[in-house]
Amino acid sequence: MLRNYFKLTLFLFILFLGASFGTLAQKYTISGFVYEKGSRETMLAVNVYAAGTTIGTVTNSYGFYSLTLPKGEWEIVFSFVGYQPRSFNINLEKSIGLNVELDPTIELEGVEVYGELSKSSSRSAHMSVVEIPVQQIKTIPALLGEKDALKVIQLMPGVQKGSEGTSGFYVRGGGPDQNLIILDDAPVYNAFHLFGFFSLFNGDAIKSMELTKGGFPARYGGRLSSVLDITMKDGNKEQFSGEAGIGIISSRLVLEGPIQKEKSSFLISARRTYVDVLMRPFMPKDVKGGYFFYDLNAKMNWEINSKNRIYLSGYFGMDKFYGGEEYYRHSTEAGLFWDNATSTIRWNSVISAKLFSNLSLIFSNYRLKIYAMERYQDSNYELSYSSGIRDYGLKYDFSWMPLPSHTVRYGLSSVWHGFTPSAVVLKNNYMNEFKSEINTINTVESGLYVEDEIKIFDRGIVNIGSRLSHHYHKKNQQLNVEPRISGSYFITKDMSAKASYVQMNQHIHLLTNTGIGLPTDLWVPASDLAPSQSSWQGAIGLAKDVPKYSTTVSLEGYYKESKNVLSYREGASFLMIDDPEGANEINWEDNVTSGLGWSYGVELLIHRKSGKLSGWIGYTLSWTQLQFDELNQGRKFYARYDRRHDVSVVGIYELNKGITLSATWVYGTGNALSIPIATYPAWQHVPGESLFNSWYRTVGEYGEKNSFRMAPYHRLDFGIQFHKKADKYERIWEFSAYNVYNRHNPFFYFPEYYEEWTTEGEVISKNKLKQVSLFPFIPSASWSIKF
Amino acid sequence: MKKFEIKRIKSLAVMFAGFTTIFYTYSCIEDVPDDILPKAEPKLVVESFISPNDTIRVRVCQSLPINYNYYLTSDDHYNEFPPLRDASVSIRNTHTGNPISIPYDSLSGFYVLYPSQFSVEKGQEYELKVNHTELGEALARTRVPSSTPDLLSVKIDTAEVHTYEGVETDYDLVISGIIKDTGGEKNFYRIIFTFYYCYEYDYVYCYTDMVEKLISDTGSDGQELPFTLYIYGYSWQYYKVKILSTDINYYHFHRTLENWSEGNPFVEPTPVYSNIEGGLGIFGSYLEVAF
Repeated sequence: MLRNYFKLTLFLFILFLGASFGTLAQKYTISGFVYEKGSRETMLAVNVYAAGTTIGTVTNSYGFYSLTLPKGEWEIVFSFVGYQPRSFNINLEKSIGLNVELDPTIELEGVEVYGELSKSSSRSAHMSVVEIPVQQIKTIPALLGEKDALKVIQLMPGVQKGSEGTSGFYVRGGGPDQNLIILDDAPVYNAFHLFGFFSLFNGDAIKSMELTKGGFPARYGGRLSSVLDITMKDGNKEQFSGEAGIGIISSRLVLEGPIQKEKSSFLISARRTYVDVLMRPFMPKDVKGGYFFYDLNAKMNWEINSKNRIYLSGYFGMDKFYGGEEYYRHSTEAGLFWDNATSTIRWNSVISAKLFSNLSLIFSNYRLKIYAMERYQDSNYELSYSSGIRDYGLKYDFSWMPLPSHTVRYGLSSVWHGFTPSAVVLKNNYMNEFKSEINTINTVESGLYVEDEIKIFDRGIVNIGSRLSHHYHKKNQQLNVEPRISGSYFITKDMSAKASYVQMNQHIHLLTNTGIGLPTDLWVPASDLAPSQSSWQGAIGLAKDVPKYSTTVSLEGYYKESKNVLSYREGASFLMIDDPEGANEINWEDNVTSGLGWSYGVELLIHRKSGKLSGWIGYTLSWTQLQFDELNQGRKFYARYDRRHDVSVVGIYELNKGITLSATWVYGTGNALSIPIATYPAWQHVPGESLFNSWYRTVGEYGEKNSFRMAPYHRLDFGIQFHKKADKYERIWEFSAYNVYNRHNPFFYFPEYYEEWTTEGEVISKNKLKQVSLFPFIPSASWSIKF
Repeated sequence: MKKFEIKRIKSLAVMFAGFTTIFYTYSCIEDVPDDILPKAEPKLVVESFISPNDTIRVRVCQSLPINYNYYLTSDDHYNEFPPLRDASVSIRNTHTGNPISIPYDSLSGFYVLYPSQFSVEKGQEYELKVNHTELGEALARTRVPSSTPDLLSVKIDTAEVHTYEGVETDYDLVISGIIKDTGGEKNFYRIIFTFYYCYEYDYVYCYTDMVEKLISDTGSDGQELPFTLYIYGYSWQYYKVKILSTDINYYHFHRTLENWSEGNPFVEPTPVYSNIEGGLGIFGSYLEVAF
């Protein structure tokens, strides 16, 4: 089976390549990098094409392009939304190198940047891809003024948020564990601050952000539902510059500049909250406590020569809650912190005008620790609980552009995962030290892929590829072949019909019974009892570009089936820190159960990325169902984040050069929940004692799983930015309002018991269901300066 | 080991996770409109644990659905789940006997049957039936365990003596032991350490507290099963260790009750185990060995 599959793939490649190479005679290659003028930042996804033809390409993630054309006179155009396009008349008699700078300072309304061929939605082989310009992230109003890339992602069709205000997201019915979030090639395992209310990505250090929801190219693997690929800015190679901002809960600073002009540069970005500092004067002297988080992004790049570059990038961020007090005979100190660290070393190499490579060495570490220390009379006592995951990875990718009609990508990746699901250390005077550690679980996940993007006679484009996925755990090996294909048929110059089919495998699970991105969620490897998750997804759609209005319209329908989706068994608890010695006995595999998932729906997106009025309208109609033998008596049920209707409207309007208005309106069907339909008492049995002494708990009776719908969620946010430009700086004041019409959106529900007296003197015992809403109308202000 | 201190850490984590500060600052609590409320009818709630030579006590009350008006008598005022006094309750040995009616005891609020009136035997299966004119019929069965485990060893150590300015105040205890499981059958155990403290101040006041552990022989059939219990800050006057051999219903009920999330809204709800057909609650059985 496997062998036949490879034979077929190989045959198709040879067929397509052979057909194309037949016309190779007298062709030369123009190649080079595209930079932003003023910063010399490399630009990705820039359109490079021969005017008057449909021959063209786009720059890759590192700003490199390669365009092969027949000998002769050509006008080569470089264009990108929001930048002044440039064209070059070239008499092509040999292969040449051409590095180009595009000027961002001249903004043109409805310019011909979509030209005859561009990286427009209708001309791309890919579907189900969302790209959001970073500038739009910075303009959209946000909770407490904290600009958050992941919350902007939630506004896209097919992407649903979790709870009110949180950054977690659900893509096409997939769980939060099924999203691969990568920052400069390094996976980020917990992308949230403050239990999900803010994400790690503040926008200042981000160059680009792309979310793939389906039709995954073969170069991506390891997760079922989405890939969020975030690239950090390289740093200004021309001049020293920076940006600083002060908001209600945090301040931030970005500094960037050349180390050696036009050769190397650095960028450093930092953000920290200061609630703890502000609260300190108001706290009692014998009590200390607080919370903070901070982020630190740093990047350095060095252009060794015209063909080789080195990038060093890193992220470090931490959240910490801490508290302690001193009272009669006691002093206590306790806390909870979690941190993420990622770093990547990348080496770009232009091996030839048609062959580009990137080698990445990747490190990622996520750690959670809960600790408590106590001095009671003359005794000391310490306890700590920790868990985490650490990755060391290698990735080697090649882009080979033999012809304008072919872009072949191939490569390999291998990641060593070290999981530490639970480690407990306890110390006191008597026991000296007690340690209960679950040994680090080592697994290796590897992938080998090849894909070819083929333009077919000006009528279509197809990306065909395959990924060989390998997982090694406890001497068990698993090998999966994942076919991937996506393509577009050009109906008209600006309109195409699209289709895709992909298979995916996921060898890592997230143990969570909350879904709100708590730091206590545990990453664990797939095993015999909790096997790897797998899925297939098919999608069809239409894409239409309207160049006159810089607008793209896309309509997609999808169907996804998943196997071995994980859920907690009813009655299972996930963090056994009330019995740390028992940690040795805990086997998380006993607490989970595997099942099936189905998700299908339709998504509509009308997106205008530039112009005086920009923004988008998104609508999703979807269904997501799950089925587990051990849950809900084996019957299908709707997933918690099944959302029938989801609407988002985002508008950004540049009133004039000094004022930008923005507004967001969202609507979503309420989440599906299990809530108690009744309460009743449950007494703990105390043998031999008077039953009067036994205690009871009020517990809930639950109906069909997730059969209750929360009230619909909707909200309007509004923002206004005042820009003032001077010679050497630009100052921005921003005022925004979250939840303008003060909608009481449900955050959670709980039953409450009370007694009611009637006018006849009767007593009525009653349970009421209460709704808790979290964020009412919240105004905020921030100030920032660019220099 | 300081179990309750460890629990303190857990509650800290829960406290952090509960966003307490944010809630109190910003949250708004209101009633859910009737039109989106789930519809449910009240059900019989039955709870009883039986054991040879022990009095049978059965609690019967009704569940309280959301938004349901439950009219209380003046006797039951301030009682969220008052006993149902007008139910018909009976028990029978499924192999040998006819149902025996269990009368209501107004003093205790239970339906009570003494050993002299009905004998519960090891290894036998019993059926409990409750009928109520408005709430219908509830039925449950339990099979009394047939054997108790052998206690191979038990040891009570003072883990740590707490002092203040050199004077002993209280101490921590570690109770460890081993029981031998009976092979060839599925067994469940509950080990309970109960401690007592009494003092006299006009009257004699007594307090009790307990720590416990649930054990099943899954994967260890017929083998030795070690257990450890911890008590922190012990200053009690005397204690008792009990080992119960329980049926599966008793075990699952207490296991899920232990895991009950106290209404934590961020955790997927875990229903408490029930084996009552046509109602809610538990009918379980046990054998007891006390030391």
